[in-house]
Amino acid sequence: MAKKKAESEDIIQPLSDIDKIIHEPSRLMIMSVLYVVESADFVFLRNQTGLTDGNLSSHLNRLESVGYVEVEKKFKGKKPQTILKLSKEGREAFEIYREKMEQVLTGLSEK
Amino acid sequence: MKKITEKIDLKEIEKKTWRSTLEDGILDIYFGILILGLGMGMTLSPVVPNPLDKFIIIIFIGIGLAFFLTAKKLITQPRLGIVKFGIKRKGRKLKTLFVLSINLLILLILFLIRFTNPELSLEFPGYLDGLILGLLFITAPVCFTAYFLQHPPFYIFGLLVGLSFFLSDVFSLFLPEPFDVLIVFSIVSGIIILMGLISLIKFLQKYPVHKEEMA
Repeated sequence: MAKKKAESEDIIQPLSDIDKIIHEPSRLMIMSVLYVVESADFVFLRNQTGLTDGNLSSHLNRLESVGYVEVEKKFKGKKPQTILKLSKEGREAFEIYREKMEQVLTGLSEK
Repeated sequence: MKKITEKIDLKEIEKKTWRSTLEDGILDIYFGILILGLGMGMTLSPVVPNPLDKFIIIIFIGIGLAFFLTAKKLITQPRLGIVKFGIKRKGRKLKTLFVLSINLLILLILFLIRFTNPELSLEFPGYLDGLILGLLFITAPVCFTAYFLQHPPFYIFGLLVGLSFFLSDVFSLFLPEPFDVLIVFSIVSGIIILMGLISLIKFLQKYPVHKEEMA
């Protein structure tokens, strides 16, 4: 009985370690897109994620505040342009998140 | 609807992201213009005095390139946005360039051999000459490009252009030179440009221009 309880804790325990910043679906989409590219601007990210301007903006602010995303604002002619890329910490956090999720999902899979 | 427990396939996300940059059909139209230039070059070279005939294809390359760069800047970027891809994608582009360079090198060597030894020639029965050379030196490298660039329309374009030389030979039975080449290459480049334009229209509908960006 005690052994079974320990096993179930082993499976569920990693859930508490999951990075909740990344785990939010919209931010997970943003992180996934930014992970596979070197950098992208705001418009590109909006098109890829399908998020509204306001939504994307707030999630990016959150990701920037924890240091996962680097934001560079510049002007292209008279138009403002926001270039976004994952920071080194962001990349590492995303990789750890993937590993943890894989562990959890493998544990949760039906056999 | 995908289940949350399904794996996030990063390769698939990268591929989808990359393909979105080719959705505008501008590369297809550019390729169509190049093929039109190739046909025009072959058709007009007997008429246009030497060495001006060599410039026909260069003019079309210039027109195509100007169209490509302008359209990407004025049509694609404001709608789709700007993206820079990572090392793996750059590697795929380099592989494409490598294959195309090798192909060009082989063509150049064959041309030089033929130029220095006019008596040497590849003799194939019937109209297989155009078919084999077209499939070998046009279809194969364009299909390699389609594979490395992950752009499926190029498979069709490669086949169409590769068959053009053979079709020109067949058309020469009914049409006087140089109209056989002109008609075949105009039709093939027309199909490619039309497919590109359809993609462009779909792209314009899918990605309208937003007034301002927020961040």
